Amino acid sequence: MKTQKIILFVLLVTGLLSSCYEDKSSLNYTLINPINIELGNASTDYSVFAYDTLEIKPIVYKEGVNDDNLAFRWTISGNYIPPTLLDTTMTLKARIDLQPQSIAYNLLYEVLDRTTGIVQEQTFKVKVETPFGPGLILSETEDDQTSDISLIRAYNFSSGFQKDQDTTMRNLFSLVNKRKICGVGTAILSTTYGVYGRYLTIGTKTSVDRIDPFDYSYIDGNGESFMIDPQNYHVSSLGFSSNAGCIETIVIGGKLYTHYYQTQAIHKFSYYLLTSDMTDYRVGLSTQPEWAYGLCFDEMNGRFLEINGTKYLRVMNSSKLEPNAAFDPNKLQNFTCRAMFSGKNNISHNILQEKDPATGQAKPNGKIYCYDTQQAYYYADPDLINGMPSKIIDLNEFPEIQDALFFTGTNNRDYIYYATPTKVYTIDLTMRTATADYVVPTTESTDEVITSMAVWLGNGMMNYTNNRGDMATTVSNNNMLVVTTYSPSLKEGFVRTLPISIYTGRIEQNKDYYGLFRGFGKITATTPQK
Amino acid sequence: MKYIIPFISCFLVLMSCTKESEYSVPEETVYSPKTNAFRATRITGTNTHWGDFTLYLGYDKDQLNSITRTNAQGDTVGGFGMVQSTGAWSLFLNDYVPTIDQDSIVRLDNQLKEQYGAGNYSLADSIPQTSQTLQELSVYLYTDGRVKKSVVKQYVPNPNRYATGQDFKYAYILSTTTSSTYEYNSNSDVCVNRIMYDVHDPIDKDLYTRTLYKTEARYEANRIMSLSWFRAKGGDNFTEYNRYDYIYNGNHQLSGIQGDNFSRKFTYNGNQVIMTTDNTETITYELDTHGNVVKMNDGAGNSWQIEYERGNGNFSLFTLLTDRMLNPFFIK
Repeated sequence: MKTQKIILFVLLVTGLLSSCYEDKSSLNYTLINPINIELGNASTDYSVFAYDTLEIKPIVYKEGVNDDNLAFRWTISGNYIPPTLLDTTMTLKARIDLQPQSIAYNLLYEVLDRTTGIVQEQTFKVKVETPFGPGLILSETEDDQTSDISLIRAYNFSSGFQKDQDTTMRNLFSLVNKRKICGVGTAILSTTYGVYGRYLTIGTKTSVDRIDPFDYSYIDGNGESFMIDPQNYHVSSLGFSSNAGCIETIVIGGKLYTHYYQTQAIHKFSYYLLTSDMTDYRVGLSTQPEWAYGLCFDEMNGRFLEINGTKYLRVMNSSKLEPNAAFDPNKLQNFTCRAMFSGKNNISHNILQEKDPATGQAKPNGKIYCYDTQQAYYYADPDLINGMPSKIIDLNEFPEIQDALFFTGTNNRDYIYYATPTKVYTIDLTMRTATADYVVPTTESTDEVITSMAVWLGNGMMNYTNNRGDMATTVSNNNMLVVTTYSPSLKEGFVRTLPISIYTGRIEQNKDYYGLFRGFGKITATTPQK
Repeated sequence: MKYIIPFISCFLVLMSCTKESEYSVPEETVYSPKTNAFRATRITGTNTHWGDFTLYLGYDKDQLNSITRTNAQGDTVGGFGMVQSTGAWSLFLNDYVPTIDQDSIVRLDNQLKEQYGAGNYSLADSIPQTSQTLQELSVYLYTDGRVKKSVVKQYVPNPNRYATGQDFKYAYILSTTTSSTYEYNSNSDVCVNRIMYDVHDPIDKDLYTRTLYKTEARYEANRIMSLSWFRAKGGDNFTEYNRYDYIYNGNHQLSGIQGDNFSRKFTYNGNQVIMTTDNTETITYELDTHGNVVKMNDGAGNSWQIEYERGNGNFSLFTLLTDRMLNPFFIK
């Protein structure tokens, strides 16, 4: 009983003390203004070329708070990359060094109010596209020891480009792969753009590098590019045929290696081809026509060899020659090959010059000839005509032929073009005349010399003078020469495009129709990217 | 049993005195939106775009609800559009433009002449026309009526409006978009103005170049004393790059605005004010007894006469706030 009284008393006192309790928990609060992120009418989805600069300009504020009390973070993530901080300012301006992907990256924008610790977020989607497309790829060197790759996308080289859209992107190899190419480019070649198994191969006297022309990322090089490491990476020639067997060829140390590029399984060059008669050989130059098996010149034995797909190098059968054949393709031991390219009417023009037997090099003032051989479709040549002789053209009467550095021609004209250090001549094979149709300009420097010359086989357009004297337009494929030059005094390399008249076969005389791209190092090799 | 009643009594005392928390409205600044004592009702004048014109302005309460433009002949050649929603409205100042080219107009004229005889028809009334927006103003409001944000889109006539055949185009082209977001001080004056200025590509209006600005105004009493300019480039925060100082004369009239590479002077002579900018541009204003601008002439082919009535209106919103801050002689 007494206990009950005590308990009751305690309860009464507790109740008395806690009565009239005033709950003050909801008094005296202030509203916090939101952090505003204004985008205007801008979308939250962006598309940017890789290595291009992305700019996003929002206005961010919080009413009543000084802008200095706001902190910003732009972080990009997605596509398996770790979240990467791009910028810490209100507006974003950052170069996007990310791989092009089909799925957009996520860009997170965070705004921190330092006075409250509250963070406001805004998300964006950023699609990274490849900036590289069809155009002219060139290998250039600034120091004669290392090289880099540049891409020109222009009216002359790319479909759908107007002249005021010409774009040059330099040093793409080092931009993407963070290193230069070890050596001076001797040959460069790209397989068809956009197809699986695409490769851009760059050869020097000491290295082989293969990159993806889609984004210029490194694939492999040197021994890794071969099933059996050749140990020597002195590249003298690269070839590619998209039609005649889909074969890419590379000549290293005199041996010819092939890569069947359309397969998804194997992407390395196989062991070098053997000759059909199992004799040794040393290939210098090779050519890959559009629809015929390729041809190469065996410097060791003085003969033409057919590149029979990925199987072997076929030795021509001299016993099958016509009695009045112009020459025996197996008896050219006195010559070295200077150039090989396609001509009109399924002919291969092969420029041979007398060689010094001691050195194997062209003899000073050695006679120069064009040994024409026949081309036959790779899929229909039962009589093995491909590579058989057609005729010999004596080039020795043409001016400055001994000074010629480069030879080329188109497969739709009976013309050959040769370049000395300062001039380009046009040989009319029908009329047997040669004309100096282009002279390297001397207005800026007097030491500018030609460093390469090739017929353009890519996309793009060109202007020329029609038979009424007006400006006309046509595709530049097989109708334009790409001549690269270098001026040691200016330390500058140039790319010059020379349209070829579709009427006369001669180089266009109206200089307004020439293309000029400058600001390069010494350009040593070029290739179209289609 | 005898203790239960005291226990219940104490329990009731406990419950009856306990006071729950009261809902307390947080303290907020109370703003009073600025209003005008007079508003423009008619503007007559000439400018390089319209030539001779008259604008008739109508209001519903304090808001524009009609604008009609006539030419020197009294024909209606421009109009007005409006879209309104909760807390926001948009006004469109429109030109009426022909949808056929000059060659077609000539053919129409000949056709009508042939059909009705010379002088028996109105070619102007027969030409098919459409409305093209010259300026679009969108305003977003606070609940108390203050402007929170305004967006002004400026269009320009199509450069191919005088071409013929397939080259003829009449659609106006979006030129610039200026988006201004305001912050107010306790006197309901705009103290911070954040501006997005977009210049659009004439061919693809979705391509634009954006520049960000901010102004911060400092006031003394109700007079603006300085205007600081900030700019945010890509990869940057707002950084101050200029400051305009406001100078007043002994009559408390604004006599000058001075900044880096900017100077503006106001010279008063009776009811006339001459505004000179950078010692090159001169505009002359004439004011009525209430200080409203009733005449304006810039000496470059633009001159206006304005008539007013008592009441508040929002026509002045067509003039950007920064322009109003730099020139108090705007049309209200």
